Formats: sequence, C-alpha cells, structure tokens
Amino acid sequence: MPPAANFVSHAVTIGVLAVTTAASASEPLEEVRVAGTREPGLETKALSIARHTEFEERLPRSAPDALRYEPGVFVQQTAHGQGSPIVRGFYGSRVLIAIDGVRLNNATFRQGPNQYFFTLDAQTIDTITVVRGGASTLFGTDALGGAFLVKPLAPAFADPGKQLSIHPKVHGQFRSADSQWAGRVSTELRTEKVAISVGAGYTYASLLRAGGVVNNPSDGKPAEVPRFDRDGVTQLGTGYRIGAADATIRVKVSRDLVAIAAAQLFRQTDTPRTDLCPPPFGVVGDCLVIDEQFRTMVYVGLDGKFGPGAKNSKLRLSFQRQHEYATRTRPLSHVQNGAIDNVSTYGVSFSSETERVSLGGNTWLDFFWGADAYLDRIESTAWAKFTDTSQVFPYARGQYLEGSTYTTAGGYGRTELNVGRGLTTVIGARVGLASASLTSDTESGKPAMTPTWGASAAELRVLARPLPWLFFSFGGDHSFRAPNLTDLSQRQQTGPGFQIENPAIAPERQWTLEAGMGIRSEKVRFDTWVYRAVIDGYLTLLPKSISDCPQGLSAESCASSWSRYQLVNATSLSVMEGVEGALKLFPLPWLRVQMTAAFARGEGPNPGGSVAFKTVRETAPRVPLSRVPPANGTVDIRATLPKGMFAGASLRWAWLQSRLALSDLTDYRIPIGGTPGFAVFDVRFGYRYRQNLVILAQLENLFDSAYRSHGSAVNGPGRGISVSVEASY
Amino acid sequence: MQTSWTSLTSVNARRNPRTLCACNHWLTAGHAFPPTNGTTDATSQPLTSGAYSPQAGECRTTLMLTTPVPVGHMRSAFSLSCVVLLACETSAPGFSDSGPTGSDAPFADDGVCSLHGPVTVRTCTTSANDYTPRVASSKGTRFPICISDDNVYHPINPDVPSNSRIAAVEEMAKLLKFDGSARPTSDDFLKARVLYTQPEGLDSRVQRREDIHFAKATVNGVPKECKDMTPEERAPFADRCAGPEKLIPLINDALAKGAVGTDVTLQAARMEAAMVWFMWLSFYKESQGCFGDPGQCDSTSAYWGGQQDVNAAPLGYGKIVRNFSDESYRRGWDAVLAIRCAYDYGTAQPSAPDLAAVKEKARDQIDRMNNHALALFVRSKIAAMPCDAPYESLRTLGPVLDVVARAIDPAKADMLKAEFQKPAAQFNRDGVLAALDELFGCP
Repeated sequence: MPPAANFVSHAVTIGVLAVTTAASASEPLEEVRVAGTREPGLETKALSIARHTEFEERLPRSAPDALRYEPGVFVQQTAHGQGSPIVRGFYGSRVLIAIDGVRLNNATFRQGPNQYFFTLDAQTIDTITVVRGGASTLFGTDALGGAFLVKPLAPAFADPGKQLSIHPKVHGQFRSADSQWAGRVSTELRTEKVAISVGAGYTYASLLRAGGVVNNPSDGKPAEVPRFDRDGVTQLGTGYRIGAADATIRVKVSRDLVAIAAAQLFRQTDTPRTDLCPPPFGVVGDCLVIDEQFRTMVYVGLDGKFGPGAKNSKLRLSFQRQHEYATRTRPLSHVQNGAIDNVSTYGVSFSSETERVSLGGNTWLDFFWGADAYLDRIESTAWAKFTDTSQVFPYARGQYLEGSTYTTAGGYGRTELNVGRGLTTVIGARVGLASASLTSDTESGKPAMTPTWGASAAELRVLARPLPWLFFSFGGDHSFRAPNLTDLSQRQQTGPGFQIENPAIAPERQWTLEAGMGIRSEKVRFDTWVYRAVIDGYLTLLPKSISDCPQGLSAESCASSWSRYQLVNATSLSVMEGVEGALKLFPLPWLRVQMTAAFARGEGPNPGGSVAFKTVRETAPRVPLSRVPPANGTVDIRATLPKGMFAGASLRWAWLQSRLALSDLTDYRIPIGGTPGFAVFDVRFGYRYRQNLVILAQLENLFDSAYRSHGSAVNGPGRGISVSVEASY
Repeated sequence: MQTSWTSLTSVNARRNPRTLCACNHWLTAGHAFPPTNGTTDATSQPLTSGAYSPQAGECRTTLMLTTPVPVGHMRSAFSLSCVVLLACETSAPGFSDSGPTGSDAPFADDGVCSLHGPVTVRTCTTSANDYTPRVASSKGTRFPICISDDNVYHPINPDVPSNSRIAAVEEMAKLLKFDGSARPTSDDFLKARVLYTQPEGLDSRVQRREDIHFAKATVNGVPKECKDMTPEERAPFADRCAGPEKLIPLINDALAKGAVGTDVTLQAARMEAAMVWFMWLSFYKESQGCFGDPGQCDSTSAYWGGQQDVNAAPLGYGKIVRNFSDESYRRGWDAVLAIRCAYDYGTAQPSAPDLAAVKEKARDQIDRMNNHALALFVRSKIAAMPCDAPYESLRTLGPVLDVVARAIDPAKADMLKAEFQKPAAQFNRDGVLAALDELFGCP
C-alpha cells in the first residue's frame, strides 16, 4: 500500500476508535497547565514538556522514545539499543542535554545522531522539557537545535509534623516484540528534613521483530540494513541489556536551601550496532557490538535562595564518566578489533535569579543569571586481537587522541521586562569560551595543538498576550557550537564512510528567527511556531580522495572504504526552516485529544570538492542537509473510564523523506531513494488506583506495519503486546 | 535442506570473550543469546599460549586500605563497592610483545630452493575477437570506436578503493618475502595479519568473495549470496563460496601458524597462493560486474595493475604476470580496456544491436587472460619443484583451474585433477606443464 493510502487508512481507523473510546468516559478533566515551565525564563520560547505520568501510560521503550509525542521531535535509531532525538532537524552535538542542571554533552558527542540520550533511564525521569530552537544563551555551546532538560524524579520531604515514612515502588514490564523484560525497585525515605531515594532496575531485550522489510523507494528492493533472519521479520544485530541504579539525598539545610547529592549509574551491555551486525555487505557473524556503554554521574549541590540577588538558585558540582567499549568481531577470520573510549567530565554550574524589581505601575523586571564550566578528559585506545593465537596488537591511536582535554565555560544574564501581563520582553546574552587541547598524533605525525574559540550568544524575544487566552511570540536568537574533540580528531568508519579528522574546523554560529502563537484555555491548548535558522559554518561532510587518507595503519582502512570524508565548515550559509504545532483538546471532561505535526527543511551549500561520494556527484549549488526528518506527527487520544480505568489510542506517522544530503546517499541506513513514510497505530488500556497502582496493556503497531524512522538502521517493532505493572506505597 | 529460522541469529549473536570483574557478572550471567556454533571467537582454541596477557576486565574500582584486612572481608568490601558503584569497566587488553613468539625453526627450503621457477611463454597470435588497442590500425574494426582506443584506461571514478587492496597485497608480499629474498619472522606475520584484517580491508573482501564460475548457492532452492548464509548452508557450496569456505581457512591457518613461527617459509608460500587466488577471483568477478556497476570497471583495472595507468609499473596480479612475460602483462591491459570499451559503448549506445556481442567478447577476452595469468603462476611453481613451498602453492592453486580447464578439455582437466592430488614425488611435472601450456598457453 502506498504511504499516503496507508496513512489515510490508519487515520480513518483512529477516528473510528476515538469515537468508540470517547463514548464511555466520565472522570474530570486533568489539570490544564497554562504556564510553561520554571526553567529560568523559558516561557517565551517554543517548548513542551513530557511528563512521567505520560510515560506511565505510553510505555516508551527508552528516554528518546518518551519524546515521540513532543512537537518538533523525531527519534532516530542506529541500533535497537540506541536512540537519538532530533529536534527541528538538529541532532547529536547540535542539541544540548542537561540532567538536573548538569550538562550531559561532552566533547565526544558526534555531529551525527548519537546514543547518549538512550543512557537515561526513562523510569527515573520526572519531566523532560524540550526547548526548541537555539538556546545557547542559557545553555552554552551545542544548543543550536534546542535543549532537552531532564528533571529526574526526586524524593519528597515529609509533610510538617509527619514521622519517617517509607515508600517502596516496584515496576515490571514485558514486551513481546523483542521479548523484553524490565523491572525496577525503588524506595523513598521521607522525613521533614531529609529525603532519600534509591532504586535499581534491569532490562533485557532480545532480537527485535519488525513488521517486515522496508524497501527502497527507488527500486522496490529490500534496503541493505538491517539484515534479517530467515523469517524475514527478526532483525539481526538487535537486543541489549541494561542495568541502572540511582540514589538521591535531599537535606533541608535552612529554610531557603536544600542540599542535594545524587548518583546515576547506567550500565548497558551487549548492544550490537544494527547497521554493522552484520554490515550491509559483510558476512553473517561479522558484528560490531557496544559491549559496554556506561554512564556514571555524581553531583552535589544546593537549591534555593542564596541571598537577595540569588533566589531560585541551583548550584551543581558534578562528575561524569562515559565509558564505551566496542568490539568488531569477524569470527570467520578470528579477528576482533577493539576500542575503549572514556571521558571524564568535571563540571560546576550555577543558575539563579534576582528578586523581582518593580519599575512602577504594572511594570516589573526579572533578571536571571548564571555561569558554568566543564572540563572533559579523554582516554582512547584501540587494538586488534587474534582469537586463535591470543595475540593482541595495539594501534597507535584510538578514535580520539589519548589525553586530549576540552574546556567550555561561560556566564550569562537574561532580563525579562514585563508590562502588566500583556507584554514581556526578554533580552539575554552569554559570553564564554571553548578550548580543545589535542595531544600529538604519533601515527600521522601531527603536532599537539590548543585551539580556543570565543563563545558568545544572545537573544531577544517579545511575548504579547492581547487576550488572556491568546499569545503571540516573536524572537531572535544567536547560538553557537564550538568544534569538539570528535570534530577535530575523530578518525573512524562511520555510516557515510571513513571520517578523516580536521583540526582546522571553526565554530558553527546560528541566527534564528521564530514566531509563534498559542491558545491557552480550559478546552484548548494550541501552539504553532515557524522558524528559520541560518547557520554560518555548518559542519558538513566533504568527500575526500584516497590520497587524503591519514598515514599509518588507518590508511588501508580509509583507502578501502566505499567513501571518505572530512568534516568541514560550509562555505556559505546553511538554512534550517520549518513549522511545528501542537494541539490539545479537552472536548469532554473525560476525553483528551492531542496532536502534533512538524515539518523541517534544511539546505546548505554543496560541499563541492573534486571527489564523488562513492559514485555520487552532485552539481547543484545547494543541497539538502543530512538526515532532516520528513513531515511527521502524532495523534493521541486518552479517555478516562469509570473505576480508575482509562483507554487510549495513538498514531505516529511520517511522510516519505527523499530529500537526501550527499552523505545520505552513501549511508546504508537510508534506503535508496529515501525513507518511506509510515503510519503506526497503538492502542492501550489501563487501570490506575490513585498514585499507588498502574496496570497497563498496550497493543503496539496494530497493523504490523514495516517501518522505520528516517536515518535509522533498525526497523520499528512489529505488532506486539506490552504489559506493565507499577505498584507503590 | 530445511533450515531453522534461528540459524542466522545463532551465528549473529556472540559473546565477547573477556575477563569481567565480579560486579559485571550480574549483567552478563545467564546470557540469553544462543550458544555460538563453533565459528565464533569463544570457541576458538589458541595455537599457543603466553603471548596474551589477560588483563582485560580489570576493575577500576579500587579500595584504599591502610590496615591489614582479612582476605574474606576484603573480597566482601570489594564486591560491595562494585555492587554499590556498579562502576567496573573493561580496560584494554594487555598487548603482546613484539618479536618471535614461536620457534621460528629453520625450514627445509631455506636457502636451498627458489620459490619461483622459470616459465617460457610461447608466442601467441591474437584472437580475431580480441580488442587490441595497441594496434592503432585495428581501431573500430574488432570493437566499436570507444574511449579505450587511445590505449589509456580512463577511470570512471578518480578514487578506486580496490587499488588500496592491491597495495595491501604488495605490502604483505614485502613483509612475508614472497620473492624468497629472506625468511619472514613471526613478527612479520603478525604485522601482515594486522594489515590483512584492517576494517574494510582485504579480509572484508576475501570473506565475501564468490567464484562466479560456479552456479549461485541456494538455501531451500532460493539463490543466496554466500555472505547471507550460515557456515552450514555454505558448506555444500564451497566452490561457489570460495572466499569464506576455501580462502579464509587457508589464510587464517597460514597467518596463525606464521605468527607463532611454524614453518614460516611454507606459510608465506601459502599466503602468496591465497593472494593470487583472491586476485584471480576478483579480476574476473569485477570484470563481469562492470556493466551493471561502473565502479567494478575501475576495480578490474585495479586488480590487474594496482593502479589505472597502463604504462606505470604494475602492482599485484599484473606485476606477477610481467615477471614471466611482458607481452602477457600487456595483453592483460588489452582485456581490461576491452571491458572499459564495452562499458563505454553500452553507455553511449544502450540499444545498439551488437552491444551484447561486444560485451560477450570483452568478457571472454578477460576470462582467457585471467586463466592464462594464473596458469603462468602455477607453471612457475611447478618449475621450482621439488621444494616444499612451491609445491604447497601448486597444490593450492592447481585445483582452482579445474573449472576453467574442464570447460575447454575435460580429459586434460581430469588428468590435471589427478596430478594435483598426488604427492610431490609422483607428480608428473612435464605432463602437467604441457597440459597447462596447451590449455592456457595463450591469453
């Protein structure tokens, strides 16, 4: 069935089901939150919030998966056990992730989609605020496409006068599509002054069954990745296991201040890269596995009022360690290429706001300010091991240059001038720097170097509320992304080909104009935003010749690849523009309908060069940007039924994406001719008893559609059932 | 043959053999992946011990102890800290010392035998259907007017990755002294193996190389590529799946034994034979695929000359042939240019009535050239007998010619097949040389 017909058919079905489910509900409307968020000063920006209660009912497979229903967000997966949210067409190191005010991004985040958002345990997340559009003023480098601000579940203090109370919680779930079992136990200890939570969970996922093979739009043949088992639906190179644990202690140190100490540990093992297990033209058994994807995060801090100029403050001292151990095994030849890359990050951040300053009449001023600094230190090594002789041969270097460091630091101020409740003007600016310290490369004889860049950002926004329920917003933003160690020094095989490092890269600087309008009423919540981001120095992939390959052992691997490329700054401006919207309706007290839709279009100058990407040579002066999602959206209906029961249905859809960058044409994750559109339909039914018990059953991909998100190497799950039980006291 | 639907997943799923610290066992114990089936690393038996220092899996969690603590308590504390922190990370394995790891004992051939014997190539007339770009007067007569008529190979893409594979073969030839100039050391073999197994390098192509002289392999009657088959499925199609079924075991064995110093001269000869076999397969396979994938036209030239300049010093396959006969080497380029010519003709005139015939002529020319080249190599090894290393090469490569010999003269093919199975002492050296000359004497 063509994608359009498929979509229409599913849309009709959801309409029918919506009427059916709507017929039998009677509970009061859930609270409608009109305000945006208390992330400092973000109310005037395009944003949305994904909440834990929604996770409980939609059963996301991962933290990225939890964002599928957020407007402007699209989720790409290179592997079953990986996921990368794309916001406004930006992904990887062009989007910032922060956990409770601590920056997750480090200097090894690729400009392509990466797996790091997957290292958050969705079960431990309270909310994820999705900030769309440039946000470097508040969050520093990387926040070009936006920011994902993760607020973990935190233990609550006991009500005044209450004694120590203990609140255990157990959660378990099963999914049939990948025979996934997951469980988590946690408990909270609450007193008036001290609150503690500890928890641990485990997830095991086996091979993922898809609805079937996704075919190339151009020739109708099966796409090269993923590879399937003989049944035609079981995807090779899938499955993973995860152990996660966390602990948080909050202590009231004074009337205005709460001290916090928290630790998060994420241990993911045995995660094959679906596109390389086996590779498109490799022999069955050839497999790249992320044996260990570990994240450790420890931080301490203070929340509250530090003084008259610092209320609603957040101070964080943090340490993070990211550990990746990957092996590419070719059992036929008894060889295993191994690599270990570790990043230790030390950080300090502070954000705050002053007391409100009244300027007379209905006019007042809020001032937000903060500063942050992070230092990354890299360990990187690689080797070849011959398993029949047990010999191990060390390579001269790993993906990165061992001992390299990266520093980013800055401070910002942001003023909100409010004239009554009808007009808000926001002006903000940040100054800072980023500096990389690259050690010398013994393999290719390149000397050590320490490039440093100024990192400034600014924003100006105006929000008008002509009516209490109607707002208009218009704003401009200047954000930046300094090159990181991956951009400057990474040397490895990637989806589009062999990446040759380029230590001469300059920062990306982006100017965004966006306009939005919204409605906030009891029955309707509506947002729509249009934007146009212009990026100077956008990092793009320039095809390189074999003669450009580095010296040393990498030369053979580089020269033998289908294609080679180097990250370079585009020679003229690149553009990302689009429109997105979200509508939430509460037509009846027991019924909620929400819809999202987004469209983004990116283009930049043809990177040119004299070399073709494999055999592809494009002569047009401007070409699409890589992996920009197609038009996509969601529909979700939720009906509250009697006696604590609820039902829901949802549709996720995407159109064909055939606007491909040059590098997309050689990336086997993208079918030849683009990624076909899809419409996937889920239904769910559940029971909730207060906050103590949630039981949920979900029928996933009702029509067993064969589909995949654009840029992904793994097809979406086929039809299956998911069951979840959560009990707490 | 009925195949279990789980067969591919059981090959695909694998465990990485590594030492894990205690706190990782809870993540890995009871692993639900099916057990490996003998093709994976976990079941590979080391040929030697002592080269590898099993330091992988050291736990980074350390306990600072200032007073003596009973071992049991220490273990408990260690385990507890691991469990609490869950922070154990696998660290890089201990690296092997360089230098000989085996006996490197002298081999019987050392200093006694030449690895290559002399080969006399008779003067051959050119087939009436052959493309002859070196003869200006033949332009437009045997083949249509085309891009190759200037006797220059015009690459379709400036970058030809296959060149790098031939460069790797050359590098291995130097490391392993294919010319017999010295004995390779076990360290040379280790380096050669590292080079051979570079990601996307030689090994990746050898693993999936098929001998397209044979019919396609099938699974349950459905044609499949060998790369998509399990070892059990491939086994009945060993001739077609020559890369994974014949070359890979040969190369693995030669490199592994060489890397621990076992009969290094003999292993080098086996590696040389394996590389020639690979180039013979690849030269033919790429040439036949050229009309569907232009990149394979360039690869054809790469497998012949290691580069695309007809007049430059050749590498790899062409270099070997030129050692025996410059004219044969030139005829190789004629054949490559014939393929390029036919591709050009097909691109310019896709509906030309004689296009199919032109392509067939080009294919035939390159096929004959390829077999002639391999036969020259085999003949040089016969000429170098009775030494063991050349005989090993001969025993490896002689049977490869069976499929093409049988298509020309089944009786001679039978004779050759029988001879290549005999011990060296009973080998009919002159008879085989004569038969090879009759079958493949002229390109």
